[in-house]
Amino acid sequence: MKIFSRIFAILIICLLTFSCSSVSPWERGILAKPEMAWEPDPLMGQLQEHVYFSKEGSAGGYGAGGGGCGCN
Amino acid sequence: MNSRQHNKFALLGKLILMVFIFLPLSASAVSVGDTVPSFKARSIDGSKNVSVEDYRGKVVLVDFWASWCPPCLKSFPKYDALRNEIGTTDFEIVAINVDENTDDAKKFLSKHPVGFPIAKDPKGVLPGVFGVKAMPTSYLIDKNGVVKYVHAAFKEGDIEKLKVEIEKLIAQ
Repeated sequence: MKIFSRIFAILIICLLTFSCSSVSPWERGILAKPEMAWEPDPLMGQLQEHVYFSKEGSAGGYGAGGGGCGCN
Repeated sequence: MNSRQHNKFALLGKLILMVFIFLPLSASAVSVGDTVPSFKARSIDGSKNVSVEDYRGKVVLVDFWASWCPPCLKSFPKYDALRNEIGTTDFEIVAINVDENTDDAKKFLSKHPVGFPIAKDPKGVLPGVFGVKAMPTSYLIDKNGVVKYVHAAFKEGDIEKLKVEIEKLIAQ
């Protein structure tokens, strides 16, 4: 039981101290700034993707969610 | 109480604690059929309070917008034109700006002034109360304060659909 209590306490401490948080749709003002974009120049980004595709024969594996205003 | 019973109670207590830690705090988003939440927000120029209850008896469009939201900015002149077309006898628009820095909103409005009342909510309290899930989101409220239409996003063609809904509610 002591071991269980210790494991439980450690679990609770871990869960209470993790730092992931979501950004509400109305809080994305800073993320919407151009300097926060993953690729500030979409045309250059597409050109680079095409070059990688041509040279490596691979596609995808780039980009991630999180940036931009998230507007519809 | 012997140690076995004590351990059982301790375990039960811990399980209850875990339930409350993991129990998600459900956001009660405003949806169709709900009464619009009562609110009072400061106008963007700081001169007065803006409240949806001031317009009870009219059809009201409550619109959440921000200066960093391109579809929001596209919608504004169209909303203003719609308001001028329908008139303010039976219809009003209440726009709520959620910019953290209200000066950004004022900068936009100085270049694109509109006639409808605009409130500011830099702390983002009201979108949380309404359960806004995307920007922009607008809530169409009937004359009795009941939400009849919730629309997230703004695209060309939305104004025509909105106009039909507004005219239906005005006619009721």
